[in-house]
Amino acid sequence: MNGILSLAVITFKEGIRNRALFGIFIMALLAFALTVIMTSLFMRDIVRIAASLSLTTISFSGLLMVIFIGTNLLSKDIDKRTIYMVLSRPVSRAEYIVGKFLGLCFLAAASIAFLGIISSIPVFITGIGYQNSMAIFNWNVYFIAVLFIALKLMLIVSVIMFWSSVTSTSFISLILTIAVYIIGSTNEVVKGFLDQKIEGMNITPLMTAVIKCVYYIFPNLSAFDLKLQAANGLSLAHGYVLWTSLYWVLYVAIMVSAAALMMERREFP
Amino acid sequence: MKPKWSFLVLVFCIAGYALIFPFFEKHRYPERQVQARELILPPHVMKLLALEFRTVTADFLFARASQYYGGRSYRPWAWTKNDYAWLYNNLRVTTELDPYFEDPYYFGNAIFTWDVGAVNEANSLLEKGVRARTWDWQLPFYLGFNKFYFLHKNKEAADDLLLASKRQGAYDFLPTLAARLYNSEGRTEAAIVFLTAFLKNERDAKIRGKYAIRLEALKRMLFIERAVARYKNKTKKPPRNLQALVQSGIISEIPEDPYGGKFYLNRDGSIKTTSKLALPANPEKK
Repeated sequence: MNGILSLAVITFKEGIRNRALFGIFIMALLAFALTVIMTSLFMRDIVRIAASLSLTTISFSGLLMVIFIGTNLLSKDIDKRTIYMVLSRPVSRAEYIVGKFLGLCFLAAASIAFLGIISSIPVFITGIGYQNSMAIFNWNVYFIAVLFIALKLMLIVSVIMFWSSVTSTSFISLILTIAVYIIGSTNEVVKGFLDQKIEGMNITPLMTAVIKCVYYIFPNLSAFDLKLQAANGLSLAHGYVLWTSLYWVLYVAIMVSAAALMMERREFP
Repeated sequence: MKPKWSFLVLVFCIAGYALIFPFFEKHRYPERQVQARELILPPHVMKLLALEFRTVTADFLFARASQYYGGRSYRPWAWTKNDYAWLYNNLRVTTELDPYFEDPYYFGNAIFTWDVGAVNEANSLLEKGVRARTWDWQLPFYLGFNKFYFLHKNKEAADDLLLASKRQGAYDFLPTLAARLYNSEGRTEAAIVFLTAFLKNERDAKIRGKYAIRLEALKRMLFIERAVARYKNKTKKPPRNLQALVQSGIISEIPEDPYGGKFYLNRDGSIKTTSKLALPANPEKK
């Protein structure tokens, strides 16, 4: 257990020291500042625009962070062979995976908490500057949306763990993780087309089966995207947070344990 | 390569870049004009491509539409049917991406009713908004006005007003206005009540100006309608034209149409104007 924690702390510190993180933060802070200016392009739903742009900035910065820094941190150990030093200590391969995963999760949580708090400033300023009686806004939903962005990033971290444990280079795991992100962000929309039976769109039974399989196997990242609800102040359905969190826990657990399993069987040159 | 040489090469390249840029730009400009209008994909494709960034894609599409409209609204006669079709398509996709976004409904209603006369398009956007924004009383209010004023569907309009009146923050007079529409009474008066409410609700100076002119025109029409009624009471027959009202001494002069047209007495006895309550366009370029 101590081994896992110290690995997590080391990974976290390594991530925090990464210069790319500062670049991403500076970009996010500039985007938050621009948000207030951008709202002048719109007519009435100003707070919605500020919330939508702020949450998008958090999500996009978080994605850049976990996908690039995450794949880099993990694969660096294998690429540069430093993993031998770690594994020669009394740390099992499964513990190594869990430790790395927790470290990256701390990094994602700390970064999103920081960006989430800063992002509320432009939303707050536009809320004071423009009162619209037809707009509803709920800070609770806003911060739940921020929390769900953090959960989504941690889920992506678990996917990175899995790919890094089966592939030999960081580039391949990067590409595969991006592919999973794209599939995960669209599989619900595609399944929606299947359920709605859009006119002029003929889907063969084989295609239907493939789409269903993809929907169950790949993570449904749309479930963690609450930007629409947060921007428009819509309340969440009863039990939504609970069931989505449970889905998250189990999906992440599957990914991390599969990564641990693959790592244990892996042979290093 | 020595530093001196690399500096020279850099300067040479920058100069070359600056030199060719106008030619490059000249060839990109027509391409960009086409792209600016036509790159609107069907809603289901946009939903797929937007990934998790649907709200911000909706923001971007709407900003593009309003900038496109704003940039050209100083010469409305240059607008073609294609421009409006593009705008409608843009707003349709925007509201598919985020059906709770207020601006596209509001903007679409403002443009497609008075400026274009495409009331059905404005209403189809508004209907989507009424369904999604269940707390918003203004959208059914606008929808009710469009059905009453442009489509002459008083009963449907009254239903929309009643729906609006049940939503929080709605004006107290909506049920009374709805009752008036159910009974098809005082058309111009009802329109004045609607427009006064629009004006009260509006912050945009440009749109306020439009509403103010329209309201003034309707008030003048109501003035003439009342004069016609007095004429009928006095002479027991309808006037042949509006000049008859002046000649009989009921009014001193026929008010001017603020849109630049002329008021006249329609065959059915209603008051109309040659401007059709729209600012003059340049027919040659249309």
